[in-house]
Amino acid sequence: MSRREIERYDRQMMIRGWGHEGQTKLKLAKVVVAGAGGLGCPAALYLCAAGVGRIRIIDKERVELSNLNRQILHCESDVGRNKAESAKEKLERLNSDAAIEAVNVAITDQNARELIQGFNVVVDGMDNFQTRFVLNRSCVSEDISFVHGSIYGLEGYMTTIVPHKTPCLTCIYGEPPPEMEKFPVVGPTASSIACLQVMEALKLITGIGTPYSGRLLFWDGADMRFTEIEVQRKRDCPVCSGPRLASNSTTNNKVIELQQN
Amino acid sequence: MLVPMVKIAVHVYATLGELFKSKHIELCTPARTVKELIDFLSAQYNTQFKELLIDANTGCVRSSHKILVNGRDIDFLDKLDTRILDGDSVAFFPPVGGG
Repeated sequence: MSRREIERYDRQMMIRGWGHEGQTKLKLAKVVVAGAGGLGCPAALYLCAAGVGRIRIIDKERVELSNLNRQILHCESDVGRNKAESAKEKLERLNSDAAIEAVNVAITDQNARELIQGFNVVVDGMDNFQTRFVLNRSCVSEDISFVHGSIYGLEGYMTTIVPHKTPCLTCIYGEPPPEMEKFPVVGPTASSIACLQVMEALKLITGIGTPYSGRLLFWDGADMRFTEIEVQRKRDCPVCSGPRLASNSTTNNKVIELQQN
Repeated sequence: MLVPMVKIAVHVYATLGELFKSKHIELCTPARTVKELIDFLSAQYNTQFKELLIDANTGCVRSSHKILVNGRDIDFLDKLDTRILDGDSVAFFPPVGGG
């Protein structure tokens, strides 16, 4: 790490257990932010500020005026622009050391595995369950940790999925629930859940703390209350109960190896 | 004969909460199980409540919805037959998909 980096990350390197080692792990880490919307914008912003070395941000949508109350990487002048491109520009301004990649595609069953291959963590910034379930399946087959978040109004959920160790999205929700095209939401709801997701991602990468797994966190902003809902792996889960497909699982564990050495 | 009532606190969140005037309700009910409470709430407040919570084909709670009695998921208790006692707190959590 350069002197400039040591100065830049000084305050977080002071955190017990973080130091040079934790910061180096972050520098080597590769994180996918799936979606550059309400969750994806603050998530990418904090991951980038914390010094994650490589961030791939995926979104095929264009910025709309009604996004700006919460999708904080986009400005008025970005309306009409691709969200991933808009996000990349701001993130590069924030941290020129980070390699930011904008991917302007829709995540599908066909491309999801390829999009996340070789990455350490996937942060869920989707606005629908269908794509979350696609990502869940791909993260399980690629053995990549998946930090789930979802929001509505002044409320939201968060949990961390470590494939084959903790309940996956299908264990938790069964089939994808019905979708809503439009939902009420305010910026701090999105940011609160996204910041919890980023905390989880940073913990997974640095090895600090314990992942929030086997529990679904429900956050109620109106009463400022957190509820912990216990969730368990399903023995017959069609996604994660089968044998681990080890073929592509080596990249994900690089960070963890670093932690053990 | 008078039906004995229990006084309980009900919490309904996100989309389910919008079926009610408030998401926190204190009420007296003759319901003795979670199933009976869902029937009671549907009859008293909004019939959509039961439709959204219960899968009509199986008669079970939709797996995407979580119901806690005193903080414990009824999936790990007696599911819809979980008993409700005076002073209990019952919370209903629907899935939300926004991002």
